[in-house]
Amino acid sequence: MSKTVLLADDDQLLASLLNFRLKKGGYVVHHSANGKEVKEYLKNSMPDIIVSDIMMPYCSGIELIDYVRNELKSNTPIIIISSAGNEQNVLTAFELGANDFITKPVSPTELLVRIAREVEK
Amino acid sequence: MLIPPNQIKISLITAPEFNLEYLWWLTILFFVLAVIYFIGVFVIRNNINTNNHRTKDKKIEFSPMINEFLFFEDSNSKEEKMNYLNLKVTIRELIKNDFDRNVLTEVLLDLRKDLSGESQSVLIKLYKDLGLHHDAYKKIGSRKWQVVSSGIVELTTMEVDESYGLIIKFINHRQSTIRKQAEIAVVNLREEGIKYFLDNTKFKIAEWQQLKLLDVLRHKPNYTPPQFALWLTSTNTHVVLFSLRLIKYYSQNGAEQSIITLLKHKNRDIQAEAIECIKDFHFVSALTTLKLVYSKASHDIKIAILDAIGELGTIADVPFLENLQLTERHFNIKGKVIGTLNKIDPERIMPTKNISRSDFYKTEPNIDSHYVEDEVISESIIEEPLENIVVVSDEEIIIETVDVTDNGNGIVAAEEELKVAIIEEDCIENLEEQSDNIIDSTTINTEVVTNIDEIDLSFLPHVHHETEWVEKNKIEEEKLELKQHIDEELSIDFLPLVTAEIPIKAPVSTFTQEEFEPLFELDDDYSEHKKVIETAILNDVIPTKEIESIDWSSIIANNNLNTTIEVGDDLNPFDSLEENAVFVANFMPQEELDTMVLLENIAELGDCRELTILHEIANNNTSDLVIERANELITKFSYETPRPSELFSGENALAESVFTDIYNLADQETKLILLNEIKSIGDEKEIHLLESIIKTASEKLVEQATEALEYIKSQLEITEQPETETEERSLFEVDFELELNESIKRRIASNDNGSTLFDQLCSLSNSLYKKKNG
Amino acid sequence: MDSELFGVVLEYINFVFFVFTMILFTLFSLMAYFSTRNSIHYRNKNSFTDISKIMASPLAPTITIIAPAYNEGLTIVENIRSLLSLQYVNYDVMVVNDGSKDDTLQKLIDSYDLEKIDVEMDPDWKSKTVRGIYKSKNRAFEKLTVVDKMNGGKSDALNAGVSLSTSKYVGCIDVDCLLQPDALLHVVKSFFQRSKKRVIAVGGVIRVANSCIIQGGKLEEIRLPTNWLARFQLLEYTRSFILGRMAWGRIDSLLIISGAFGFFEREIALAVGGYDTDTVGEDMEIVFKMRRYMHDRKEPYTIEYIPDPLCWTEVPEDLKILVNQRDRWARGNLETLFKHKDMLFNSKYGRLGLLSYPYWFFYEWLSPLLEFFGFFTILLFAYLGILNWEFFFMITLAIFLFSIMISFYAILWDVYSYNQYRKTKDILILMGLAILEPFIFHPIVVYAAVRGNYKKLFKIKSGWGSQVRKGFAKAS
Repeated sequence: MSKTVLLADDDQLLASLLNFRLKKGGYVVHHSANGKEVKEYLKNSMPDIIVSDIMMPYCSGIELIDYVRNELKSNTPIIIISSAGNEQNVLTAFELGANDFITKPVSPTELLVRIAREVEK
Repeated sequence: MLIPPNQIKISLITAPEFNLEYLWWLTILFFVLAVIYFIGVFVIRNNINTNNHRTKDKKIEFSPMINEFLFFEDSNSKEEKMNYLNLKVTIRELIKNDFDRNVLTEVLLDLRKDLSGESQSVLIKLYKDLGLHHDAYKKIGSRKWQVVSSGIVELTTMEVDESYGLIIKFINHRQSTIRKQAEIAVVNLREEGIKYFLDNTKFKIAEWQQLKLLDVLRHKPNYTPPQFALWLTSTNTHVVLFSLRLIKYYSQNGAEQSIITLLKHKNRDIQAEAIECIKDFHFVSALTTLKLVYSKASHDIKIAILDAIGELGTIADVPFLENLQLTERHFNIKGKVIGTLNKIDPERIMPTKNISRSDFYKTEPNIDSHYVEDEVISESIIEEPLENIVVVSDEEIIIETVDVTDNGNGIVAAEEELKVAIIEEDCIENLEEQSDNIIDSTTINTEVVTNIDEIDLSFLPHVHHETEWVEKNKIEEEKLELKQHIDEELSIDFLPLVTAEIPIKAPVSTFTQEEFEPLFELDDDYSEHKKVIETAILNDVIPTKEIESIDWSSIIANNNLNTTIEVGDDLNPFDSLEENAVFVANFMPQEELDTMVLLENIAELGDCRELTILHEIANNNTSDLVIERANELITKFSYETPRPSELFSGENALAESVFTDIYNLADQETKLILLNEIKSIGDEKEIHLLESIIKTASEKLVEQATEALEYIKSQLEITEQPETETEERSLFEVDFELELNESIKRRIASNDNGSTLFDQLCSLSNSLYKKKNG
Repeated sequence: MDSELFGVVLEYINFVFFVFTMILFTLFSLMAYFSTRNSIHYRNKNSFTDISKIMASPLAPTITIIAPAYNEGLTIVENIRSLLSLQYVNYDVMVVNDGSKDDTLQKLIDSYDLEKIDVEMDPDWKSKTVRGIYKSKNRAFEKLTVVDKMNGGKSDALNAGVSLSTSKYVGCIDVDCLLQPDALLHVVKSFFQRSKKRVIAVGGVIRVANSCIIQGGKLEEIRLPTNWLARFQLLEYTRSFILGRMAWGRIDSLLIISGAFGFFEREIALAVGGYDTDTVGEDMEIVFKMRRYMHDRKEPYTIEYIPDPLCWTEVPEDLKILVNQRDRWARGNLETLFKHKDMLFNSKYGRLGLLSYPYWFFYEWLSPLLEFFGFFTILLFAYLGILNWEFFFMITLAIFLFSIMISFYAILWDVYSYNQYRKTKDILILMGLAILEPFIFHPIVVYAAVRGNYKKLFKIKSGWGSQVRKGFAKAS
């Protein structure tokens, strides 16, 4: 039974690339390009792990964490993708319950390892 | 709109005529333009939209292919390999069209920014495989500056190393954008790029550009920066400024004199940056220049200078600040002066006012740690560096002022004899541990010396204090010593000024200021001293390394008190001193100590002109430590820009053993061979090398080295006591009347600077002062 | 005899009016040209620079954003939160509570966990008394400083901030403005990119945020305002920023930086004595002062203008508030121009004295007055039957078409550079507004300007003394 990953990133290129890599790594991937879609998706089904960019239209990664943890009361692991210099946001993300974070530029392999680790837990 | 001209008869005055027809034409023109713009808006919108769509579609088309490429693994099945090859062919077909190729380049550039690690290198490889960098080369040949710049950016992003030679010629391009991108490319592509850039740039470097260049350097993996001090002499002010910033960023503290000189630079930014460096690197010797520059500096520089004085200053700077307090009109500066005063000398806090703004955050949280750290030091000063201080302070007093001696020296002279006797004993007792601890005591000595060195001639009364303080410590020290050896009564008779035994009994680790004070319960006359000592406590001038613990046992043994202070705070990586050093009350041999003092003096004040002396010291001395320090200084000063060096003479400069470098680099076998070689052809220059080998190397080498050493010595017919470490210890006699042992005498004889070491030291520091004061 | 002289006078008026119009055409055409040049240059220069990387640089200068607040209790907490989350390392936010009568301060204290700290103030300082300075106990808000002072007006509040800040640069913004997350990066870049000239101030575009979708302090979707008044203002802003400021920026003669988004080198702002508290046009006045200061010291300097949309603000949708706003602008204009009247045609100030100042004098200040009186003159002349209908018709048509053309051109550039309004309908609406503007919106603006001037001039003449300070209460 392969695990599901929700990939939330508005950057089409990067998202498609990560999507590809994750699929190759044996995950089922659902990709959303904005916060609205993500929320919509989460209402119906909960993936095994959420990977979200911190900057997204309509609902930032921060809000997403808050939504998952406090409104959906879910403990699904969340990994945040942040860009350099956004340390303040990363801290907030952790405070709100993010499990891990990875900084852009992203190494897809590293992301895969991190996902595997969170999912194993 | 008004009255038609023909309706009115004009007799004398007529208004200028104008033809309404022109107006009509204009109106038509405006109308046509409006229509064109109207259509234009929609044409442009359409263009933008279709273009965006096409690009987006293409991107969607390319994206899976790129994914395939990036994550293709060799281990895959044959079928996949075929797929991969086919894909490559397809992609090559696809990008024959210019538009598609541009889109692909764009996609790759985009991904390059978002990816790291292996995927990134695969991506770069793909870029080159597809020959896209040829397009970038074509762009560079373009006549439009924006196209050239974008070509350079592309090559930089994709790390096309071969383009370095091509781009390098653009760094002095007239068009600023091309120039800026080329600069970034040059620095980015090769490690030596920054050197080339700094050497060759002729243009000003905008702040933003500096920011970007530093950013490029910061993100270079495994980057070893060059010594940026080399560019402090550049004729391009902006290069100097940028170098200073790089020096600060990479903490290259080897260019003290140059940086201090830059304080006098006309450019405010350079001044400000130099002050920052001085503060960061703790260049205490800059204080005089800081004060000199102050009067004519602008507001922000003044505040920066005060800030630096606050960091580095000692009690000697108080009069200067007090003077400013009276003369400065500007509120912010005045506030800063008061803040600085408080920092240097907390006793001066105005009872009615609060601490000024800028220091509000700084002082409070740190005060505790300062107490502890500085206490450690002042304690150790009290305990340790006796003779050194005596010597140094004496000579400083002699050199600098006459009246200082009156008060302080009288005491010194009287006490000296007694103390000397004590120390002599102590020295012998502690000789065993000495080599481990020399470093520590040296540091402290240095600090004391430094304090004295800093004194400006205009602040004579405080020189006086300073000396007294030293004297005071000495007295304290003697007290302690006395207690160890003589009865307590004696000490009281002898030195009514000092309280008896409180310092030893107080648990040092819990010292607060209040607890500390009883130590210096002195007569009114000495309240000055008290203040001084407290300053020393609060001042963070002194500690320069991590101090883990202090072992007081040797001193306090008689009182059966063992106190350990633990301080886990470091202030400044000042010198290459060992971490976690342990203080043990201990003394160096006089000779060594003197030399160390001299070296530290040089370190503080000297520049490359001192190389001669340093080489000499390095060669003639016996102690590892001294040699090490001397060599360190040699390296340090060698980095500095060479100045007209009348002191330089060829033979002296080459006095270092030619074998040292080779030996250090060689392996065991070679070392043995080298030692043999030394034995056969070496002379006195090789002695210290051999000695250091004996101390540090493995058995076999030691054997060989000892042999060589013995041989050389016999060749040189050295008559003095054998200089191997063990023998030296047992035979060493400290002579506090400064009766120099033969080796020193000989050294001095070879030097025409003076007849005794003492004189030599005096004249040396004298000349150093002259140099420093211009 | 009398009627003959009268006729000549009328004819002269005709001629002057004609020349005035021609200069106006030339000026605006030149402006269009310069702004085009500048836009293209700006676009080329910045098409491939990635500014976000610079965020964490150790060389990044310090910036203090000063946000004066007067009775902003309703929105202050949210607005400050968005200011605190800008992308930049080395900045802090200083909110100056200008003696608000509502709970502005208390709300700030509660939301950000503030406590009073001791800071010694310059006793000679001429601003109103500072009652206290607050910092947050929570480290997450360490960028925030709140200054509580007695009411003294916007200028006074800004001065307090400028003087208390220790940063290299200060930014004066309206607290209800929405800044794009990368705004400060652009600002720093503008300050830093020149190597030959010292950049003493940076200004930017103000965009109309009415009806845009804003979520959590972020602009999520740009929409055309639904309110007609706001739409007219949008058109006006587009024209003024895309063409006007861009052109003045090109020839380095900018004389105004919007109070809603202006950054200054603190040292120089202080050297000229900060904002003038006696004028309602303080944002214009300080630029005049800073420019003169640099001119007098003969230091090469410049003022940069960023055309990228970084600052979004709500414009008044209520007619009365709009008229009040424009009334204030007109007064500020008059006051500033009067204060610096020695600059007019003063070659010592180069382009400023010969071009910029005269432009402001004749076309920003005088032109509404001329239009106003011209209108009544026409009515009068028509009534008296002495109106030259042909000339009147021709020149009105020319001006009308010219204004439409210029508006279209501004829209064209806006579309070309930013293309923010996605719907074709929106563009058509804007163009329709451009045609209607001379009949509907423009008269309102002219009326407000005349009212402002009347108030100011009348009060000076009748010696009523200084006007009642209104603070800077915003409509909300």
